[in-house]
Amino acid sequence: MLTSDTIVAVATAPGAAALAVIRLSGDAAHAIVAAVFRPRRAGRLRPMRLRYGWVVDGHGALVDEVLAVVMRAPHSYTAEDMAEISCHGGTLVVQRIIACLLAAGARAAQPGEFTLRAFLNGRIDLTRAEAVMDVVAARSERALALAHQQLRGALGDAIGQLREELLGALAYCTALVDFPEDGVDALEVGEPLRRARAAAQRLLDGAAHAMRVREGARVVLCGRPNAGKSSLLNALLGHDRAIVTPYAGTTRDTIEAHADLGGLALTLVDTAGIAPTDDPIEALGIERSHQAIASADLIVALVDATGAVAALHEALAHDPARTLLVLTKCDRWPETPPLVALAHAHAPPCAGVVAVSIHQPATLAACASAITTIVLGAPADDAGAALTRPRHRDALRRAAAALDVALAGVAEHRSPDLLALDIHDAVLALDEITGAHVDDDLLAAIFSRFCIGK
Amino acid sequence: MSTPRSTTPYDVIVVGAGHAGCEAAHAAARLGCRTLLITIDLDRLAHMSCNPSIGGPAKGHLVREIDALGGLMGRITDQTFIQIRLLNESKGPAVQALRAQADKRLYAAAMKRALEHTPGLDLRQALVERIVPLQPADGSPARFAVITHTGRRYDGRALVLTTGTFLRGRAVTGEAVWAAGRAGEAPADALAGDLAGLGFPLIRLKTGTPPRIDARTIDFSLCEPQDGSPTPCYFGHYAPYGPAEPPEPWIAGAPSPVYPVAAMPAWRPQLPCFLIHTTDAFHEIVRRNLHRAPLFTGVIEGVGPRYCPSIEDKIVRFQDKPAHGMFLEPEGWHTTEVYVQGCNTSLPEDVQWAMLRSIPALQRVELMRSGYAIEYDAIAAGELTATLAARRLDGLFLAGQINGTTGYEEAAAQGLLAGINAACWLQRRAPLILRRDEAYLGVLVDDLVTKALHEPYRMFTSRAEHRLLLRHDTADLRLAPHAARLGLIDPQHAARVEQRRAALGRVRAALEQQRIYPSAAVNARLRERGIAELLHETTAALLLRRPDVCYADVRSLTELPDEAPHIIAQAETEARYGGYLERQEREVARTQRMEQHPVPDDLDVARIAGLRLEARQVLARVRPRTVGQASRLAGVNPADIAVLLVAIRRHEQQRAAARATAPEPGP
Repeated sequence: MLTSDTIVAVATAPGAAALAVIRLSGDAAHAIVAAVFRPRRAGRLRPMRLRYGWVVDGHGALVDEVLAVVMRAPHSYTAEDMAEISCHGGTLVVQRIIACLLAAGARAAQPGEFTLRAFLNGRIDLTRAEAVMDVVAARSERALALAHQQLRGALGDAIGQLREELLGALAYCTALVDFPEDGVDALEVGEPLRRARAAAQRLLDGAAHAMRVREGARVVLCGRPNAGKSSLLNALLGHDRAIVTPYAGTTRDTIEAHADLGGLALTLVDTAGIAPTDDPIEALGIERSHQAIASADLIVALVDATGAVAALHEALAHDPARTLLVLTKCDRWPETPPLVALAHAHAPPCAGVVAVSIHQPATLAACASAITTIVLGAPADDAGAALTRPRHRDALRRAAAALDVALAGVAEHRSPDLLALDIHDAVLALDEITGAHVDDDLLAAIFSRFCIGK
Repeated sequence: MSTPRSTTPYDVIVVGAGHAGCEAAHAAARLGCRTLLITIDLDRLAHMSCNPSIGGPAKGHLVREIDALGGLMGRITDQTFIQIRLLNESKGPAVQALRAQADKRLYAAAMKRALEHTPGLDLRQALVERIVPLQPADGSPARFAVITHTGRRYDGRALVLTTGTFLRGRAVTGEAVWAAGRAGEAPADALAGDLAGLGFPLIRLKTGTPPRIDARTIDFSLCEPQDGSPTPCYFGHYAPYGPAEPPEPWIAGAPSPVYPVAAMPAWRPQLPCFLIHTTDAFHEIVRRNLHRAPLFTGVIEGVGPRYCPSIEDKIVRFQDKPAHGMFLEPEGWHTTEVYVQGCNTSLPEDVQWAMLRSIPALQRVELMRSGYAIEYDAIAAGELTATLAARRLDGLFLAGQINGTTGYEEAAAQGLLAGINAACWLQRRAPLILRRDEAYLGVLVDDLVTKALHEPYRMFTSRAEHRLLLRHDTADLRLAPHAARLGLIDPQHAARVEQRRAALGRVRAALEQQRIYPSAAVNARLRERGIAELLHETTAALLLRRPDVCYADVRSLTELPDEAPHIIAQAETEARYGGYLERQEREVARTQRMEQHPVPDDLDVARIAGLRLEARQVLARVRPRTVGQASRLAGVNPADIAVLLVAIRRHEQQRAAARATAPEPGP
């Protein structure tokens, strides 16, 4: 901490807002942004020049449409190399972009760390820094108390068990090295490591679930004109928010509304129908629809069950894993419409398929429940054991990554002193969550497990 | 009471001539200080009061570092060992370490000779009764008077205390308790009182030693021999610079015929050690006599080390373990006295006899000395600075078990550093402070300064977070520049180390630069050598990272320099560690800024606003030298460090402002 490694944090207030700004500071800030940013027109990021483009994840998938700018040291707030990304304001979008930046080598900033760096580099004066430090100190005290509170319950048990597995494996690897002649009983370290890795995954999955319960998600309704998007929006809201007419192209701009679906706070976004058009106003609306789709946590793609098969393929063109296919106007067909059967053939890759009719409340309820189920993801086994603090999730992800390296090492029979380094890294990351100190506990673990000594 | 006064004060007085004291006195004298070494028994200099072995993981690393800094332990071990082995050979090169069995009496004799040949060093046999701090007065720069049991007084400008287990030492075997510094030697009780009087907080520690048995009563046919190394290895940095230290003539002859020696290695005669195991009967005897074990009856109060448990402790705590291994280690080339490693105990003497005789190989065994536990005073943590100087008293340095450590190597390493820094302090030179990424000695001292001790401190490889950088094959490369700057090694040796570094640099550069293409010719040659073919273009360095590839293989494919085997071995080691080494180097670079950020001496941490109470107390107690050191303290979190950094900056600004407005000195 507090070195020239590169830190990242969201600079704007959390919650629903049109835009959010993500900041990076440190030696690698420019390189890290360059690694995740695809400018619309080719060319490098140059200091103080705003560039338009997309953030893409490790698999090359678009995450969000953004504006990016880099600042060169010392001409920045922290007087270090900095970068800023302005993205859409959905919490999940911000989280995804930060995840990309973390994966590219940034570290989640400590509270107040940007200001601290600014101060240490002589950019801001003492009074201002001290004011910030007071807040930091208070916040860290409160954060610690909160973390302890959280760790007293199921989460603490889950992490404690995970750490215990790792400590056992680490003690073994270390004892082999430090006491080569003490007859340390053999242990298959792969076993506890695999158990710990699986436990970490359960916690991470649970964290995503918990995050959405707390922070909600952005659900974008899209489809061809007149597919029934606005009708579905109104039906889900329980009141008329959007104007509904039998004419295609009634909705020309995106419309946002907040809904509580099964206890889950959602932002529902109605969009202009996507179709070839010569009308410049409609074209602008369609452009916005694409933007909305890019920032969606869940895409609800509506297809007129009585319409053309081509519409079905269009609906799956975005990101099938994030897409719920909704076949509308099902009441207009005497039996199950053929398109519904066809749609079911596509699930997976898409996240789900439902058939609805505005006139059949049961189908609407099924649709609402499909939306909440997909948004929440599978709840974790460890009921209540959920990491909701982003820094804790970052730490657990790093622990999981270190464990992956250790497990690869076990597979290729890497020597115990090197395995110990990777397992140590994993425990160190966990300790950022629990506040424990691996180095204090390691020797205790060795001497309590193995009979050692001359 | 009047005491005879010595004529001229010494520069440095070292009290205690164990492993710490000998190195301290030698280093101080070597750096030009007129030095006095006082010990209770001149025949037991650097005495090995516990096992006759030196080295092992982390400890062996320390010995290599002592040698690289011009200390004695490595060289004297090389002259007097009766066996040496490379441990952890099958594990990574970073944790490989040498361990030797030394001839105990010969080691003391060789150490005495080395000290007698050190110019400027006087040796005296006496029990030091009192230490009196003096005010440096006109005419005499002495800060300390040391008074012996015969009433003689020596004055010194600096004092190094290396009193080992002698401070209020108390030995225990079963029901028998007697005052002792080591078995058979008187403790220093008055001295402990003096230290307490000076305000040093003392803690009570405990350690133990096993019985010694007579080799003539061991059935070696029932033991498993463990032979020494068939190939040459030494603690000293002779190779590749010159010939190794020859063994003492004593060892060149035949050893005691009582030990069965299957094959004597040609490079150096050696004795085996012997592995035996405890039996059910042994465990039963121990369990039946626990009510007489001082450890369990409360006779012993001191805190013993967890890594050196007594045999009674092991049997109680690990009940499901059917047998414990024990090594029989000859205490010398000619003596029949044998150390029973793994059997340290304070059970009554009759129980020690009975339990050992329950082991088949020891059915007729005779005990020459019984095992005992020893309790002693050590100075509590928080009293030391990173130079091993006492915070409480200028000119006083502390090293070895008095600082709460255990082990000959830990003691010797501290003694060396204390001797060097006492000399530097007197000569107003920059002290030697080693970083954690630079030496095990740096880790050791940093731990002593920052950590609270709960048991005697022993070095482990796992204590060194940058251990890949602290390999035993790099001790000279890491430390020779310091040693040369201070004048601890001669310039020719320093120049040879630099040549070695340059050669290694050439090999590294060539490995990075040379590219190898998957041509038919290259792949054919790889196949010939039984190595998987290349699919893509690569560098020589990356090819060498493959576990089945050696330097000669790569050199057969591309142009690489032909260097000495030790250079090539080192390049291969670096390649094998590849990514791990780079990762540790990055971590070191990352923390460097913090490590180099000093905490001003006159900063009052108790008055920093915004610091949590716990952090404030810890910082006030330990007084870290750098922000990096502060960040390692238990009870100090990252937010505290942020607050500390702000306070330091403000402090610096205020000081600068004060200087700017201070009146100019008058004419």
